[in-house]
Amino acid sequence: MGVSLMNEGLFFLCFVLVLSIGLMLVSMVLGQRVRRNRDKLVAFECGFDPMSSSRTPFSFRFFVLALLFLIFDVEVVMIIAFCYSLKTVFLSLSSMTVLYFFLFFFILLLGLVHEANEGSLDW
Amino acid sequence: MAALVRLFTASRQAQLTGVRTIQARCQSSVDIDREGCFINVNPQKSPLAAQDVATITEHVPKSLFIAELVKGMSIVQSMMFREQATLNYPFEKGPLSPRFRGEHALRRYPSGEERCIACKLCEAICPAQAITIEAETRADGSRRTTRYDIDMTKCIFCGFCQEACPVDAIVEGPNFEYSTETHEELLYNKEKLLNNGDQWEPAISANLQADYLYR
Amino acid sequence: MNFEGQQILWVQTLWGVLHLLISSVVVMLLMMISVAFFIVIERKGLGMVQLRQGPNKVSVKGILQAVADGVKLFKKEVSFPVCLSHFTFALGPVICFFCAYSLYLVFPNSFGSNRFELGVLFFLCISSFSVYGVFLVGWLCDSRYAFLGAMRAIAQSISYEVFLSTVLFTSFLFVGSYDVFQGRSNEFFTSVFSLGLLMLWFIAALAETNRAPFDFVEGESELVAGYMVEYGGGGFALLALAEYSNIMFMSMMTGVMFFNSGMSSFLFGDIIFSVWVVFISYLFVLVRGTMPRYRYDLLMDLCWKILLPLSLGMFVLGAVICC
Repeated sequence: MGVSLMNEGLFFLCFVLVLSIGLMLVSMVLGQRVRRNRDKLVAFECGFDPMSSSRTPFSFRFFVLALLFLIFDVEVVMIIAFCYSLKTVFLSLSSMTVLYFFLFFFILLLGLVHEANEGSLDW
Repeated sequence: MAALVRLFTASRQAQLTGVRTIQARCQSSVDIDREGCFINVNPQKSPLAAQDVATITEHVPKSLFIAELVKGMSIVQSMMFREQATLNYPFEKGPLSPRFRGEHALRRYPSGEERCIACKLCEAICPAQAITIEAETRADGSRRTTRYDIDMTKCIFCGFCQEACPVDAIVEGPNFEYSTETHEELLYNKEKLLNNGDQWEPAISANLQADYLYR
Repeated sequence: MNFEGQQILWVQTLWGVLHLLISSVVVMLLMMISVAFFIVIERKGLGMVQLRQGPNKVSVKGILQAVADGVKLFKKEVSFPVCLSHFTFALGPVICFFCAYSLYLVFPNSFGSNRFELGVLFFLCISSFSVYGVFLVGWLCDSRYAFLGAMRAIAQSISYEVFLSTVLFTSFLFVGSYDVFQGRSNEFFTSVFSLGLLMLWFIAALAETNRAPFDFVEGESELVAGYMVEYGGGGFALLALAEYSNIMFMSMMTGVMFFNSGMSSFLFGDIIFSVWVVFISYLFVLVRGTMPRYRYDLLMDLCWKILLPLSLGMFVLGAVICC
């Protein structure tokens, strides 16, 4: 009973998690003692001490990209179902389902073209 | 559908007008604000803009660079089987010329007598003034050095000392692996130099023999 | 339940746990060793390509170089930047390592103790999640270079993830299942269509693992060492292991998806499979030796304007073929 409760995959995941934490701990225990030094505490910079915090505003492109990624990831979620059961479910329902799906793709491509046209894909 | 088309054209128009205003601003005030204004020196027409099927079909397979990729990768792969350009240094060493100017050494005659006659020519010619010599006459009347120091950290390895020497006493041998951990170890005295000479004598004399025509 | 029955149950439970433990240890051990040797192959291969020697001192011809490096790294001191708690600083590499190695749950060997039905989805989930590790590593330690590296890495990973998953689903369209093992025993992929798909997939794999020619994360001339610049010692070791493990896994997926003819047979198939994995991961090294670095804006253009529409078209085409 105890065995059947324990999922093998879950066990493996737990094992990897424990291992990775363990390796990190091992490196902290085995590693040489830290000699306290001010230069070791500050962030890396090319030959001088960092002059200000690096928490500065960054390019807006990255944010737009993240939004685009969200949209297209939803599309991927749609594909998941389609891809899994194309032969078993979709084709057996009616021949129109595939057509609908192609329509979905067409709109998606249209959206992509719109994005490119609008210039939000220009880096 | 009409709405879609309008949406598309509207955004395109907006972008174009933006570009146009920037361009207009750049042209109107040439030396004030050129930010955002790129001048294409050598405008190249994209083959894809040709609107011509033959041009496009000719261009696209070429632009994939498949053949070039394969060619490049195979060249890189073939490099793997060629001879390496590097030496595995401490275990393999490159060839040295007989004229190689390495660590200094004071030589002896086969009888064991030191060659140096304390003429101080090397001291005189040394451009870095790395050599210091003191001399006095020995009991048997011959003139020998009591002190012969070379500051190896001053030496520039020009080889003038060995050229100046009339009796081939001071030479620069083939040894170049004499790094030390302190400065003091590189201040060579006479004893050290004579030891070097004893140690490297076979190599040094072979080099002198190999180069005698040109000396 | 009597005493004896309880005893038997205990023994059974213990035996089961032992079984699981052994299988997990074996998988992790094998994968870590293979990653270590892959690192050696990369360094040695790049060296030979550039007419250098590469590592050649440790053991025979430098074969154990990665092991020595690992030992050295774990021996090094772990220094923490002042702006962080130790826990947060240590968490990043742990997440990266965990994400990279938990993927081997779906490794499709014939002797596996478990069989993951939705392995492909698991792969996508975990590889999406590993972005958080990169973010934690790069953003939290308040270093400019790490921050820039992390931003680049994340933008690159998430853009190429859409493309990658589309290509992935296109090939699994023909399998009709998300079981990686079934993908392995599928005999379809020997056609022109799959060749095109393979090229797309390989580009995606290169970009997703942040490898040359798309290694903007650690463009040495600009970003020193990328997002892991603040890490030394054990943290760096974990991050490096995770990175190379991702490459191994990607080449494994490539083998599963595209080079699967003859793999369905039991032992022989396993051998062919592993040979392909080695070959493809070697291809990663070869590509690194060959290609110069791309440009970041071109990379993004390539993904969104060329590869993504192309892969969507491929998917539709694949669906048509499948019908």
